[in-house]
Amino acid sequence: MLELKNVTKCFDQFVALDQVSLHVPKGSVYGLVGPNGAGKSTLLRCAMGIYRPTSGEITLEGEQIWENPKVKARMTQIPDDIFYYPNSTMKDMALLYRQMYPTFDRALYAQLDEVFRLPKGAIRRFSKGMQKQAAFQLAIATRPEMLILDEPVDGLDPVMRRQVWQILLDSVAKNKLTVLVSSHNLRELEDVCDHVGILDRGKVLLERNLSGLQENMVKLQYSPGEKGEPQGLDILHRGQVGKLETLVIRGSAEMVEAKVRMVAPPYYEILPLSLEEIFIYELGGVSDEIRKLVL
Amino acid sequence: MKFGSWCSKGQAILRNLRRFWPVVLGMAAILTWRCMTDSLYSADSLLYRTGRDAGVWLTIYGFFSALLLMGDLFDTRYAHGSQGFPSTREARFLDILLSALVMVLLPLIPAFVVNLVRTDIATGTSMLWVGAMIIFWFYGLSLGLLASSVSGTVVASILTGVILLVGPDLLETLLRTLVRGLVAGTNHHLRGARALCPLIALRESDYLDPNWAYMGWVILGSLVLTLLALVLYKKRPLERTGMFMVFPGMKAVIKVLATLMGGLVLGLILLILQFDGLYGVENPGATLAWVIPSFAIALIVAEMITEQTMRVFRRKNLLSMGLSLAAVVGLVFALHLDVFGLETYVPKSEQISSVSLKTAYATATVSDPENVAQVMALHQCYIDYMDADTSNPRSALFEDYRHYSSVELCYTLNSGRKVYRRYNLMLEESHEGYAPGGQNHPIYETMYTLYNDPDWLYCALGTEEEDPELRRVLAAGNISSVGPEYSSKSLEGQNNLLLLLQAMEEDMAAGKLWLYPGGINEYSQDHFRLYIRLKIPNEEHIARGPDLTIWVSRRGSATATLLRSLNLLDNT
Repeated sequence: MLELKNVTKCFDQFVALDQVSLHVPKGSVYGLVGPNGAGKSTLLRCAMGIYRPTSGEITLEGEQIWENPKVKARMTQIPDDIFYYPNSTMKDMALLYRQMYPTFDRALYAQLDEVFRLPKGAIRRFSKGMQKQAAFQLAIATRPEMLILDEPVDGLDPVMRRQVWQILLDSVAKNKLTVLVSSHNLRELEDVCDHVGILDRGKVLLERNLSGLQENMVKLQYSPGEKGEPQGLDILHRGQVGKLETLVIRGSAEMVEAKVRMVAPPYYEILPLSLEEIFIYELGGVSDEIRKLVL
Repeated sequence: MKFGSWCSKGQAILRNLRRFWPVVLGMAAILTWRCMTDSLYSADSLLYRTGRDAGVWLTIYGFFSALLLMGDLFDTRYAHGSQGFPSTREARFLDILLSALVMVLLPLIPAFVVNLVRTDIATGTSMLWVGAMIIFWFYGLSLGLLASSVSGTVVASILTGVILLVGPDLLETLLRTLVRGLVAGTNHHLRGARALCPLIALRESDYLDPNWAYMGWVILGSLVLTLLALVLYKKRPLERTGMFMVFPGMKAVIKVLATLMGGLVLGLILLILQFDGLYGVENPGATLAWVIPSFAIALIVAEMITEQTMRVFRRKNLLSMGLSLAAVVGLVFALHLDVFGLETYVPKSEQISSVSLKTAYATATVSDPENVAQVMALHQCYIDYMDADTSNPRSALFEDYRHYSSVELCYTLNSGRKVYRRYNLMLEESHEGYAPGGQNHPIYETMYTLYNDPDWLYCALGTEEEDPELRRVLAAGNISSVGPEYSSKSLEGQNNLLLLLQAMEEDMAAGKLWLYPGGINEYSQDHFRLYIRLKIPNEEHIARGPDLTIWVSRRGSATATLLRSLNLLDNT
């Protein structure tokens, strides 16, 4: 759906994005993670056609995004710093979005009104969380094919967070909405994303399908028996607490179980890894900033 | 364009009107009030005086309209938000233009109605007035759009816009004034850059000149500027929003221009304050003393504005500021010490097409090689006098203006280029503190001989004529009125004028009539002054024109005899 090919973005002498290549499949929820200053917001702005890349190509289903209103009409964004015209109300902004986006759905907008229940006054008087809700209401009502979110649920209360994600995932499921979301909250992304990418200092370190990642890494907790440690395993990490040993292993659960049975330990358990743990152990010796991010 | 697009544009216009309605209302009030209260209300004043004031207002209004409508560019959130919408930059630029057009038509409509209702001015004339106002508004708007397209902040756009609005003319005026103060003889009258600043031309003329050819150039220039603004708007990198200039190289240009303009303006203001007038510019010492520190101050302020910080006294800034100041000081001193040879420059005779010589008494333009050589000799006299004199012959710090004379030279070269020089010269030897300039000084001898050659009388009467025989002058209708000093009467009738000119010709040959008094005491009873007023062709509505003063002997001159016979001169 969204393709970035060798995209570089420079601000004077500073290279914010360095030959970034990224692919966001149609109908997926793609999580973009990275430490502060990694270039996530810059990447999202380039994807949205706000910044022009210094070099490289950004396309949506093969069409260039930059200064292309037809393509941009199929995309909506909710940036970190949301834009509303001064003294505009929800009605004013809805009118604007209706003019700008041919796919704007008034019925859906009215439906979302019941969910968010925002006041009638000027949006500038709303709280930060309410402004974010307003942004969601407007964005979802445009029925976009691609939605780009930068720290989307920052400022929302837990109940509203859950509701917003639910609405988004419903759209993904029913309407094949594609979402590119940037966040620091790995635990939250784990629940919603099916693809992830890690950005650090303008470069993509990792880009994977989440289920594939999770299927290919397991955690083994066991008590060693007479035959000792299972052999032939690709061990990424070892830990020990008392007599209980913990191994993080690259491989499928079935393969690991077969190997473990060969040494017949008195106790063993094979557990899935969280997104955080996958990143820690997958990245191995990467920079401390990444470790701090995921820990 | 589809209906939906027009609706979108309409929404954009309405949105901008809602934001800026106080500005529109204010402009409507100013224009309408002006049209209702102008005391010279007539068809003429509509296009002339009212037009002049309204034209200035509309230019400034257009400029600030552009700044207001483009204001979103200076805020990161708004700039990013607008860019994120599915529209092109051309479309948004068009929205701005259409909004600006509505914002100017709304105030013009009530003014137009008042024009029609209040007087019997024809609808066509009123519409011409509206057209002229829109042209000046468009000029201001185009400058505002250009300034905003290249600027990253409000301050930058205002500074850039002011430089564009008045910069060329102001800079030329200030530089020429500075050169005039530091370089002997240079003349500051040339204002070539005025054509680049319609606002200055409009503000300084008494009337709005309905010169539609000039207006055509203003429209063309405004179109070019608007297109340039669009190109730069499209290329504008949004990531530089909030920086002084969005195109990196431009910051240095604005800094230099702001320093030059600021330094010159401040220096001249301080000179004026010291000398209670612009005369101080004729004093090189004072000029240097005020202008150099003013440049330093302007440089520091320009650095603060463009770097957007008060902390400019850091090592790397000090180095560049020091070098800039050194360059300016070096240039100023080079001018003062005449390193460029401006003070002693006299064009070669083979380069000269014609030369004009203007004194308090007459202006004459000559092209005959012999006459040109006379002027060049006079010019050389002035240069030699300046070299020989230890005090400042250029100083105009005189309390009594009778004690000096000024002469202006204008060489027109074969290439079309003009060279201007202007000199002040003391007349009275007894005047303390100034250089001696008695009647026997070579300058006066040269000038006396030159001016009292009959050729010069013809040239003075003929003004622009190359071969001004008296009769041809008369046929051309160049003379508006002629009569003795302090007389309310003027000689009338073509025949009488012809007789007078014949008498003057005769008296000049006999040495009884002079263009330049030389040794004559102007209050002498033996002579009287004859004023000849010349008409400026094609500007008949302007009452005044250049005067020619001629000195005539009361005794034995044909001119005096003729004037007495016509009861224009008493018999004393």
